[in-house]
Amino acid sequence: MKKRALFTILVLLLTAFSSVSVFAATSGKARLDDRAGLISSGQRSNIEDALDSSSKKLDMDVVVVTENAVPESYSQFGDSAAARYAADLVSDYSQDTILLLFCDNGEVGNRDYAFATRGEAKKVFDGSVLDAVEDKVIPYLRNNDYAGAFTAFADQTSTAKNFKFGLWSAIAAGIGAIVGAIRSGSLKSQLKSVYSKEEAKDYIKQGSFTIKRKYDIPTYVTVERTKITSETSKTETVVNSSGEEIGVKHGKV
Amino acid sequence: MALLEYKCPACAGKLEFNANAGKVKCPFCESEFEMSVFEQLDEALDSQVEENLSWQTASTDTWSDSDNAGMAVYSCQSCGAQIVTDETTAASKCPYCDNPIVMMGNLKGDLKPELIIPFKLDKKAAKAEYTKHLSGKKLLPSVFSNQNHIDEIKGVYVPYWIFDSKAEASMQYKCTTVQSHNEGDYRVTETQHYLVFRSGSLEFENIPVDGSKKIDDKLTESLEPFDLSQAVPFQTAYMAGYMADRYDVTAEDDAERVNARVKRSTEKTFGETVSGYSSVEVADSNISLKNGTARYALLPVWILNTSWKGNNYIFAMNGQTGKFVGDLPCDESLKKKIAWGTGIGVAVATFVIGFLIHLL
Repeated sequence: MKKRALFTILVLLLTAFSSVSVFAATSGKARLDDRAGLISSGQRSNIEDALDSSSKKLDMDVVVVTENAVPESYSQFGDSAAARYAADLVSDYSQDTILLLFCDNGEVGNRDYAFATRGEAKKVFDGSVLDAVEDKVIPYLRNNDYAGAFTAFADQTSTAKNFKFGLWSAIAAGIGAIVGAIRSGSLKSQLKSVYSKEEAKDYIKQGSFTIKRKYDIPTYVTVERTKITSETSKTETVVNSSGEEIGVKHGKV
Repeated sequence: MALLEYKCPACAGKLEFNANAGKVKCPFCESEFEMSVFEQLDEALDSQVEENLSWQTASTDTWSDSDNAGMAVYSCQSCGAQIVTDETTAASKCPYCDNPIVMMGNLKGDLKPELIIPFKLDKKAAKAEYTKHLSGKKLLPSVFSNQNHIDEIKGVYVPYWIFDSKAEASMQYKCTTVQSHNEGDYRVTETQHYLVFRSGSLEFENIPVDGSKKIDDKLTESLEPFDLSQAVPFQTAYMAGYMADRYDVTAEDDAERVNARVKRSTEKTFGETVSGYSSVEVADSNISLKNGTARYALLPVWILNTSWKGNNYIFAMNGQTGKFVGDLPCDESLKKKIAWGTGIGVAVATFVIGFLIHLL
């Protein structure tokens, strides 16, 4: 009886403290799907551990998919082909997922990457948070350090839900300083009632203002042409082939 | 024979007529102008006025022996103020600096005020306004408000010059309108430049400028406006119970101050007629005053002068409208405490809100 009780407690403890499976809970798919074969077997386990760790911390799937090219069927979407493909891929994973798609066509500067976010991940990786992830990942991709890029992706995503102590401290201090200065300044301004009068508008005789001559003469035109700089990366929401709204951010590297 | 020379509105270079194109062209920046532009320009320039900002003193009447009878003139040995009262009014201290004043000669030969606005509000009203002026000021040192100066409020007729004039102006502006559109990979911004002219006139009446060196111009300007329609011809009878300061700043001396105010208001009024442009810049401004006159008047002011911690504080109330002005001392240590207290409180609240947002 005692042995059975001890065994039950041991099983419960092991269950409670065991690491989360390397597979996504709902999809059963691997979090690193290296279809382009960019990662060596030695690097794979480290990346998977990092993705699992981040997934566990965020309580959502953090996934990397590599391809040699975006499938031909997506060419109809033009520049957004990689984003649309990522939006379809992400729906194969759990309800809350962030996915990084990297397509290595071998043309440096023209290789597509796309982030796709689904469910809770759309809220967590919004705006500057996804920008920060992109900023961490892209330098590695540019240097063809794929293992470094995917590990950086896992590490950076894992911090998304951290409380930004420094940022909030700075915001709080800034707002506090401004409000403190405004309040004390406002109270001090109550003590001042003597001001110099710079104008005499109070003494303009009513109805005395007359315009005798009025000319608006067009003289010359200057034309300035500036090249529109296209953004290398765009954030948008797209509807994937399943009809689901997916957050995407994509570009070329 | 005078040689007419046009300058390029774009770069100020000397323009040349291009006979082939039938246009005026700038050899420096290559801007081209239709001849019709210069026809309008000529017409506009013809309407320009020469700048002239001079005034004439209209008041010429002086104190005679009969006027002077029953009046006493005192002098402040400290600030130099010359205070006039009727003989029945006891005057022992200068209303401006609170130092003793001594009796001196008479007013015979001095310029006599043309107008006076009699006091409408009495000392009781002035005391009530002073109390109101001090109340509700969180940073006012309590020691200052506890000290009772209220009985030292004095009714003074302050000398003013009242200016009337018609301002004729011709204004020139450089304006632009901006339009942008995309052409392929380029953003094209077209800026149309304009020369804009306005000429016309407006009249100013009853601009008061104080004629006393002892009282700060800012203080008297803060007391404005006075309703000059209630001014009456000066009579010494209005002086009973009050003091009057003798003017020691002439209308000519005050002209610079009044000209600046008139010029600013004229420019602003004309500027309001230039609308619909992306940018407006004053290129030239010529203002000429016609029939500019200055009349000598006495206007009613209640004055309280006091010193605190080595600084002199002067408070004044418009004796006609009741407007009360005067800068008050600040409790700097309390100000710092409030700034820090509010700042820290708001910072903590912001931090907590940030943390709660993170938890949601």
